[in-house]
Amino acid sequence: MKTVLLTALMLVAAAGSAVAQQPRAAAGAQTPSLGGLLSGVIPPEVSGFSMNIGEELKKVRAAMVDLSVPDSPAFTVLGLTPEEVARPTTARKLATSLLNGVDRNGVLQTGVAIDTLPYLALAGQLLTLDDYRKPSNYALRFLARAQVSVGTAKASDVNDKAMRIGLGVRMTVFDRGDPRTDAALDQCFDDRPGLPAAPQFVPPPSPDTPGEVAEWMQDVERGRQALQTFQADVDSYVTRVTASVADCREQARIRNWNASKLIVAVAPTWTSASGSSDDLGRSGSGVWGTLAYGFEHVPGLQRNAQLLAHARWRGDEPVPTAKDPNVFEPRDSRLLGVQLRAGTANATIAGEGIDERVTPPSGAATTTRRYSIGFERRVADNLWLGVAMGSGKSPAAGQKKSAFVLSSLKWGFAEGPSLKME
Amino acid sequence: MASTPIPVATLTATGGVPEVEIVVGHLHRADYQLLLFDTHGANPVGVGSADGKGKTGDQVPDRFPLALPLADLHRRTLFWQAGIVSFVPEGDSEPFSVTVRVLQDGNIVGLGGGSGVMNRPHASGMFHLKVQG
Repeated sequence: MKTVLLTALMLVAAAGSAVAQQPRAAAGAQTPSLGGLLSGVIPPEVSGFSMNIGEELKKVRAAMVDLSVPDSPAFTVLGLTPEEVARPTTARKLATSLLNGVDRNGVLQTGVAIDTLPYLALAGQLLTLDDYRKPSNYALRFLARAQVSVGTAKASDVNDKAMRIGLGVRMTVFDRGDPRTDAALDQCFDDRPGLPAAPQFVPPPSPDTPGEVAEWMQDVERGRQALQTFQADVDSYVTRVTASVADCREQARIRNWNASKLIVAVAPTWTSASGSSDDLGRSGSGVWGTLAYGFEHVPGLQRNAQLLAHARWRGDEPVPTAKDPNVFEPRDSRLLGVQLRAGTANATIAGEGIDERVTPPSGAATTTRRYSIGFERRVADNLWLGVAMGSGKSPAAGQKKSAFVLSSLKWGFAEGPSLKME
Repeated sequence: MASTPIPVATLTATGGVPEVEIVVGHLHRADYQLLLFDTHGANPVGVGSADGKGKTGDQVPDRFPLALPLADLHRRTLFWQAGIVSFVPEGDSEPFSVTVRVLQDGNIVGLGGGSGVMNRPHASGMFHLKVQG
């Protein structure tokens, strides 16, 4: 393999030189690419050589399992993708949203989808940034980031009245990319447009003696006019600051994409055969956990790489049977996964290992394992050396069956990068 | 701002040095300004610093003394404004709250502030100061 790659790199140098000596093609004329030239000189029988390594790398990227913890575990555990989600931000709105989920007779309503940060909703007025940033206030940070989702759905049952309800709790145990503690984001906010100029006059308090009333009325009128001018300045300030703040947040999002963090979530579900809240019974659950490592303080990797370790478990998940897609049966499953993503302008690597075990209600449990890795490196302008390798054909949970077909090492050249990093 | 009644902070002439404190909730950051106007509603001077400006989240207390003889505070106006910033883009409906309070000897003698949603992340208001006794 090493010999083959070395030979290929020598060919790259030779081909690059040949291309450099060619006269510039006229505009619109078909110019043979360096990759195309190489495909012509490397015999197809060379082990693992792929004429279309870009497509192979795209397959590797597309087949990678989403190893993040769901934003709204309650919806995930119920298999919902609600079009409208209530996101109450105050205690009153939270109470209203919850009450809307049950009618006055205690009958659960379908289509409930609530996602909220309950501590912020209930105690937001009292939560200050200074308190949040105190190193000793971990409990405040934990509670403020804890997210709760609630959803209801018709149970996968022929009985029309049967209802399922899911309650999800998503907890950020730690997050080195927390925007509220990001000093660079704070600095960006410092640089945004300053406050509008304060009014030079304001209406003063009423006088103590009647003799001062005439002068006071003049002062009040002068203050009112100054406040009107001030309000116009506020309008202008709001417009300017909104765009500036959005830009700062976007920069922070890009800067912190790979920050180390640990997020866990649990989502139990209950089912009511009658659709009433009176006879709810436990009916399965989901647990997720993802530990992300962002290579902080590692030169060359701290901005460009992320290592994820993920575990998930689903109990009594209703899945359609093979015989009849309208008939569901509960199954248990667990998935363990590790994923590495790293990319610079000149090189990208993406790889993962997945171990999934599915236990159907009847029959033996099945375990599938697979790994895949893709690597590409720019070796010249518009020429990338790509390597893709993998084993295993079983799709992971939630993946399309045809998503992963790579079963051996393949390499080749492409005119551009194929492993897009986020 | 002008349409709402201006709260009155009633100070005791024999009490301690009054203070003003600004509290910004919902984990937002705010840049603020506190100004003290004379009895004619003119000639503003900064509270806490020359221009009266400060920010939350910097671990510096957002509580400042009104460093004038108590008798001189009578019929003055305390003006405040705050520009609020959210760290997380939750949308324009995200709430904010600013609480401004005037304290004397640890007691709240004037309470004001503003709340709203982040599609207009600015609040301002005033206190009229009254010294009695």
